[in-house]
Formats: sequence, C-alpha cells, structure tokens
Amino acid sequence: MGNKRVVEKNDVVDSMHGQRPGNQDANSLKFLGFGLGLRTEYYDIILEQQPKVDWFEILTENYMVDGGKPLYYLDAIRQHYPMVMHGVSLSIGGTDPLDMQYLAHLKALVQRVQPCWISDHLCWTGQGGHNLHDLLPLPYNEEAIQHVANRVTQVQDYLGRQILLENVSSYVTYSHSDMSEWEFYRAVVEEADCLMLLDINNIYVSARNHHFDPLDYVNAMPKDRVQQIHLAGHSDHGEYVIDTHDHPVVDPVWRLYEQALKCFGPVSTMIERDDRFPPFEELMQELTQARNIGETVFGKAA
Amino acid sequence: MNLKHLQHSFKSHLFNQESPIAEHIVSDQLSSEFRLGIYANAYATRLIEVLEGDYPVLHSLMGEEAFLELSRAYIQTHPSTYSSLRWFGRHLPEFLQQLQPYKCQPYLAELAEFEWKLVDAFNASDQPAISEHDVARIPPDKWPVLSLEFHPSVHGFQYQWNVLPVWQAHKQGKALPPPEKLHQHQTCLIWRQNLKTLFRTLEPDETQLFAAAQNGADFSELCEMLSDWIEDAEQIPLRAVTLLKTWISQALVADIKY
Repeated sequence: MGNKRVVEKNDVVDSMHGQRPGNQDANSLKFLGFGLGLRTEYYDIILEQQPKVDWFEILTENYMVDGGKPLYYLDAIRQHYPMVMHGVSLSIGGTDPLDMQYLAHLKALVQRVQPCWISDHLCWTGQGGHNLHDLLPLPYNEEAIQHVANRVTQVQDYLGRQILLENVSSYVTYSHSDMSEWEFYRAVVEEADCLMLLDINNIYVSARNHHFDPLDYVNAMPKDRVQQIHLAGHSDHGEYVIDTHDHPVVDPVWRLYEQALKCFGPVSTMIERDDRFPPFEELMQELTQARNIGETVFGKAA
Repeated sequence: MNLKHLQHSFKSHLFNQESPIAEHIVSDQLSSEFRLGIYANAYATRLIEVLEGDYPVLHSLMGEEAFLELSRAYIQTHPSTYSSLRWFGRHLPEFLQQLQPYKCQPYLAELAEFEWKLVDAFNASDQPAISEHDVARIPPDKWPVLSLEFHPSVHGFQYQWNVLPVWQAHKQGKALPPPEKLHQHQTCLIWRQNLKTLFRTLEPDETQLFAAAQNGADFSELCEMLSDWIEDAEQIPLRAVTLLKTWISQALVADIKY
C-alpha cells in the first residue's frame, strides 16, 4: 500500500521513459489494444477476475486524494494492467494562469502510476479561480489556437512528455468561430506538437448538434497523431444529443469507428461508461465488438 | 470579445443565467438560450449530485425538494474552487449553521458535520498506524512523558441530537426517526481502519482523555485526569492502559513520542 512502486513484467512503461516532447515520432507510443475506463463500480470484479482487458484508463482527478480506497485499488489494479491517465481539470483552453499546484499533483501521480500516456480535453474548465467541472467549448479561431498551443507547450515542458488532447462534445457554436471544429483541433495539435485522443462518440454528438458530416471530421484528422480512441454512449433527444456516457455505444458510432480505423490504422481503443453502470460482462461485450471491428479492418493481427 | 471575456461571460451564465453570452452564440433550430441551458443544467446537476453523494443521510432527512433548494443556494454561495470535487461540499455544515431557515433546525448542521467527517476519514492520507509491538518497546521510565499522534483519519465529533440513530436507520434502509435532542452532549470517534470508515461512541472519561491526548497531553497528565472519574487510585493506570490498547488496536494512533 502507500507509496509502493508498481513494476510489472508486462510493463509497457520503460519504452516511454525519459522521452522529451519533440524527441519522438508522433506515433511512437505503443498500441495497447482494447481497454476500459476504470470505475469504482468494477474495482472488486477486476481484482478478483482479472478480466481480459488489455489496459485501463483512470480518471486522474479521482486519485488526487491523500489516501484510502481509491489509491489502494489504483495500486492493486495497476499491478495487473497497463494504464493511461485521463484528466478533466487541466483547463488547457482556460484564461486563468495554468494551475501549477494541479500540475505538480499530476506529475506526482504520473510517478506513481507510470502511465503509458496522459490526456486531457481541448476545452476550458474554469475561470476567475472557479472550477466549473464541465468541458466547456472554445471558439474556433486563431486567437484560441495560439492560446491553447502555448499552454500545451508549457505543460509538455513541465511534464517532460507529450500529452494527448481529446475533442469534446459541444452544444453551442460561437459567432467568434471562423473555422470548423476539425480545422481548429488539427491546427492546435500541430501547432503544439501534441497527440490526439479522438472521441468518436463526441464527433457523432457534435455532428448531430451542429449539423455536419462526421466523416468530414474523421477524414481531416492528422492520422499520425491519433494515439487513442474513446467510444461511449449518449442520450438522444431527437433534435439534439447529449454526451452522457450512460448508454451502450450506438450503431452509427460503431460505423464511424470502423471508418476511423480504416483511415488511421490500429489505434488503442476503449469504452467509456460513467453512469447507469451495466454488469461488467456488458462492457466486455462492447469491448469485443470493438475488437471485432479492428479484426474486420486489419485481420487477426490487430 | 476576447477569450477571457468570453469565458467570464459564459461562467456568469452558468452561475445565474445573467450574462450577455447568448448574443455570441449562434441560434438555429435550437435557440442560443436553449443551447446554453444544456450547459447550465449540466453544471447545476453535477454539483447537486456531488452534494447528494457526500450527504446522503441529510438528503434523505430533508427530502428531495428541500435538499434541492439547499443545494442550489449552496452552489450560488460556494462555487467550486478546487480541481477535485472532493472538496466542493466542505462548507455545507457551516452554511447550514449560519443561514435561515436551516439554522433553526440545528440537527441539520450537526448531521452534515458528521457526514463530512466521514468523507474526510474516507479520504485521509495512508499513514501507517502503530502496533502493540511498538508500545512494548517503550522503556518503563518513559511512560509518564509519552504522548500520542493520532492517525490523520481520526476525528472527534460532538453532538446533541440523535444523529447516529438517523444515520444507522438510513444505512439499513429503514424509516428515519424524527430529530430528537439528547439529554446531554455526546462524542463519537470517526476513523478509517483497513479501508473501512468506522465510528463509535465514547464514554465520558474516554472523551476527555481523547481530547486531551489530541492536544498533546502526556500519559501522566491523562492519568491525572482519570482521577476525576475513578476513586480507587490503583485502578487509574489500568484504565489508562486499557484505553491506550483500545486506541492502538483500532489503528487510531499513528505515532508515540517519548
């Protein structure tokens, strides 16, 4: 328990060690296979049954606590699985100064977890010292590109590694935007030289909410930067769609995922579930579905 | 409108829907107000869920509507300033103590304080507790000056309402007893042992000794206090040692200094 270090035989971490931003090919991180978001509801099942999940993604902030159950389970599960870290509070698009206390905590957690990579969202989450605990949209314009890219560079320098930025679902379009979301996303990651966590469901949700063709989005991605894929469900209200992660992945998202794999090649993929948690087997079935799509596109080798 | 103003204006909309941000949002089949409303709803809903998660018994005691009203008022007064939601609800006991109509129902603040201490114990740092072996190594002549450092998860909680039966009824899925004032103050200890958050009530002499030990009183001072409770002087060290052993076996003690 406590601060014990986790070093395992099937650890995939060493190849990542000590890499500096820009010191690696954009696509040099490992292909991890098919994973799941680690959620407290499944801690015991995972420890007892050690299911055939290739890797887990943890929600970074859930483990930014002093001690107790979260860190105990984190360490215990880490011994059996590779992990990546996924944050929601970096506020990379925010206009408050970067939260150095948060970054220090993040760096310490990276030391403990030794993740294959870390990610956060292309959005802002706070303003004026307030944390809004939501992934809020940015305007798509040159000012925002430069602003975010500068901050990503600072974060990558501080952490000594590239980060992944994820596209978020959105419900508004600013009149200040003068380009598409995918042009903006691409420009940010290229300017900042960071990697991408592409959320296929978020593309679908935003396409429905803003009336664009999700394939245009997928096709516009710089494929050598796409390091990870998220799949999830949402709540469909007909005229609009909300990114709730409380339903199974829908067919149009599976089809878009297949198109994405054809476009990018094999990409580490995982299912996110954050509410109305089903029995663990149902998530495993969804993971099998993702795996099957991978095999359809690439053959068994994937 | 630059990025900073845009974000400030968006935040104002989340906080109280009073903001010019809607002018900068495109309307189509769905109005800009409706689209912004999706964010405002999500913001409030998420924070209310956090309070429900941290204060499940208070939620149950107050009922859906009253708890919702409380939550909305709290969110307005204490917007989150931490990246972790773990801290968001920390002002609620004080909020209930200070604000009408809640301060007229003092059992609400007391129950909230109890639930928040459970949250604190759950999240406290993983310092190891000392064992009986550590105690066996204390040289006899050092006993009078030894003092204790309690585990970071340990909290004393003083109460004068039937908070514990209310909490236990909720835990067992039974109807909650109505709030009832006790004849006198009582104290319980809240702590975490083997990842489980626990509490137990204290006898009056243990209450006094625990408070004194927490404030740094040494073993001889603790024994002296026991003379208020125990007439037979020979029984005093026995009681003191019994209490110490209990505290150690329950993983309450992080360190012994002498």
